[in-house]
Amino acid sequence: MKRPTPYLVAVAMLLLPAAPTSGQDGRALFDQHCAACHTIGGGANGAPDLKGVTAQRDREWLLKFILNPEAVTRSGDPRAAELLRMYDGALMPAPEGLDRASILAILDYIASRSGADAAPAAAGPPPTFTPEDIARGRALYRGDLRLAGHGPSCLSCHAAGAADLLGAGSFGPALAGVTTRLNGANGLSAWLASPPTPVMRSVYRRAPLAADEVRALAAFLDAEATAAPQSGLPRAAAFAGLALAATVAGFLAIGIIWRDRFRAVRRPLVSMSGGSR
Amino acid sequence: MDVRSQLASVFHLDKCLGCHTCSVACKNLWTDRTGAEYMWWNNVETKPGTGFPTLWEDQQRYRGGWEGGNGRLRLKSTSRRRILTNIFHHPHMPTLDEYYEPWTYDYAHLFTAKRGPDQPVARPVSRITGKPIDVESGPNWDDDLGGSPVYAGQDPNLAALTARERAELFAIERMVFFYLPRNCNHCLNPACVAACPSGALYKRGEDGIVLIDQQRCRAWRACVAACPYKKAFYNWHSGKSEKCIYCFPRVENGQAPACFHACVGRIRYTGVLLYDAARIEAAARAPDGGLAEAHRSLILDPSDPAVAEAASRNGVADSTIDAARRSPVYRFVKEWRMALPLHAEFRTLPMVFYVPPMLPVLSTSHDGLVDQTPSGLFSAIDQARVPVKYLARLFGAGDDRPVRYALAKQKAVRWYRRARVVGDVDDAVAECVLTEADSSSEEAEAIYRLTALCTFEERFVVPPAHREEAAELARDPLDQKGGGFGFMAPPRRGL
Repeated sequence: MKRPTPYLVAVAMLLLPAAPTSGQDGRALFDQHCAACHTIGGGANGAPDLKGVTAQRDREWLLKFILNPEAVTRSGDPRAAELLRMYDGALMPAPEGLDRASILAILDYIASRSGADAAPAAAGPPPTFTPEDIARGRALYRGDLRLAGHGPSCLSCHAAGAADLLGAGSFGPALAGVTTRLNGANGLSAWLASPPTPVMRSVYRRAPLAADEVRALAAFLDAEATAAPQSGLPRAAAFAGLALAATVAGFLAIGIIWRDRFRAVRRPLVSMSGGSR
Repeated sequence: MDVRSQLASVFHLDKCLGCHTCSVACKNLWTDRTGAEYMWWNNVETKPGTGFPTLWEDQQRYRGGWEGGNGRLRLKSTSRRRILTNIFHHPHMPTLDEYYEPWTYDYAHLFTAKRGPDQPVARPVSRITGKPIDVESGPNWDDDLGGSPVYAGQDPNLAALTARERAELFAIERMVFFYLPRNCNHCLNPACVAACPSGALYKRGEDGIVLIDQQRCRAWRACVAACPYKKAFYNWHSGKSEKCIYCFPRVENGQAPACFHACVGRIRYTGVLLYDAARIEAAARAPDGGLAEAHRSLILDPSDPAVAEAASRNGVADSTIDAARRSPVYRFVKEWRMALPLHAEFRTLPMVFYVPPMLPVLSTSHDGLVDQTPSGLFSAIDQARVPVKYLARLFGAGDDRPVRYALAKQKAVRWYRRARVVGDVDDAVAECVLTEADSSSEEAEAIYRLTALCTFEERFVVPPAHREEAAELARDPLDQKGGGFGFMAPPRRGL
């Protein structure tokens, strides 16, 4: 069901002068809400590079999209559909706590940074994680610790490498090196706090991750990405090897448990005695 | 004292001539059906030999019967725990090869063969697959010591003998054998009944016949594995297990079972034994050496008024108690102590008793001629051609004393009759031999009469069936009830 709010806002936007709104710190807001995924001139990395976006698109559309990306996309907007296709179905989450004025301040900031000579915006400092964070993240990933929102553990769908149990899922993409794909731990945290892909969004909409869980998981996945890569066999070969070993062990166990089972009596008797029949 | 009655049997092995008439009578009557071709509810084995199925006495392989001479008595084949672990496959089930693949011959070929240079032949055809087979074994493949080095030489009971005794037993011109007819023992402590997960097996109250309820049987085949005598068989066609039914339709009409009736050597006796059911467990737990004696102690004297009174209280019919007093089985087993259970160490308390064979066991020969003097014909038991140790394994649970007792008494009767009929034995000597054998001339005469001159009625004392009582059990008493008010409605079940 479409909500009327974005359209009302868009209509209001048309009536407003395109003057920059002061009193809002665009840079601080950008760092807080956008920098997890977006850069300004730093290259597209899981999300579009926003350099020059204010020149390419009209502000009305940008405002409408930022306020509710899902509604715009579902309304069949061709530009939104294009974005969705470019980023493999990953939809931008609606930023929380941003009103129209704040968004306009951010857009102003982006416009000010989009000059030809402007240096890329520096990303926020990477967070520091303790070993406790990593350990907790591992437990959450494997499902040893239950998520506060009762959502499924990551292992159900994703494989992460060293911490995998036998049953790590292959439904979602492998999580090895996910922090590099998603602009570091900050980007991952933002991603986890409001997952943009259709599957994860629908799974975790009703079971959102708590802030401390996001932190722990980011810590764990970051550590996994920086750890030395596994030099073992490919997953399928390891699984086949394990299955073979388990089968052999099973047959051995059967052989031991029923070692004194009844075997043929008459034939061995005859052949042992050297008889022909 | 919990007195119950059992229709028990005595097989007098000294009289068995190994003709297999009993087996054929049984086969024609009961097991000539699809799925039952391989079964021989009654079979006759040559001893020494491995029997049917091959090596059935070796419970290391077959796991039949009970174990535990002291403390708990438990089945060798299964337990509550093992029922679960063996639920898809019982690990101690004999295969068809241990019995034999039944076959017939392609007789039609004799008539339909094309004209050719050779006589047509009737090839053996499997009665299970219908395809031609090479016959490899049969139910009495080692009959009369056939294939001795393979079969007779592997008899588990030979373990009691030294290598030298074995060599002597199988020496040319010294070789000796006797026959062992076997059917279901209708045991007092039946392992098959105890092992059945479906509760399909039961021991009939009135005469102790052990039967398999064909409606309840669920083909677990636990009875096949549990029976140490391997006398429960699985019918592959009906998917139910079957066993000897002691010809109960004949018995209920006052006739002896078919194998008894058909016996050419008249070796079989049937009659009622009264026993004390309260002491069954204690007897089954007796130490190995005392098993035969403990088994015999269960059997009660029907002439004892206290026993008869207790039997009446337990619902044993007066006619059954009367039959017990005339029972030839009681005389052989309890009174004369000549008949012994087969492999009492299986602890199922079998109710078929065997008089151990004496001849040609005790005869001696010089230069190929049998010594015809009494001392030559009926020599010392220790010089028997079949060592007593071997017989003790079969009939004494390893203890040779009851076997020696039974043999000594048989021998004494021979000496006594020799003195009476031939006259080449001094009466005083015969009397002395009788005393040594714990017997008397009156007893010897009675043994002689029941052994040699027995009539049909003396051998088979089958009590009336009292079917009127069975009919009462089968009838719903409410059917006959009249009077009262309103409608009679059965109780409503469920919701």
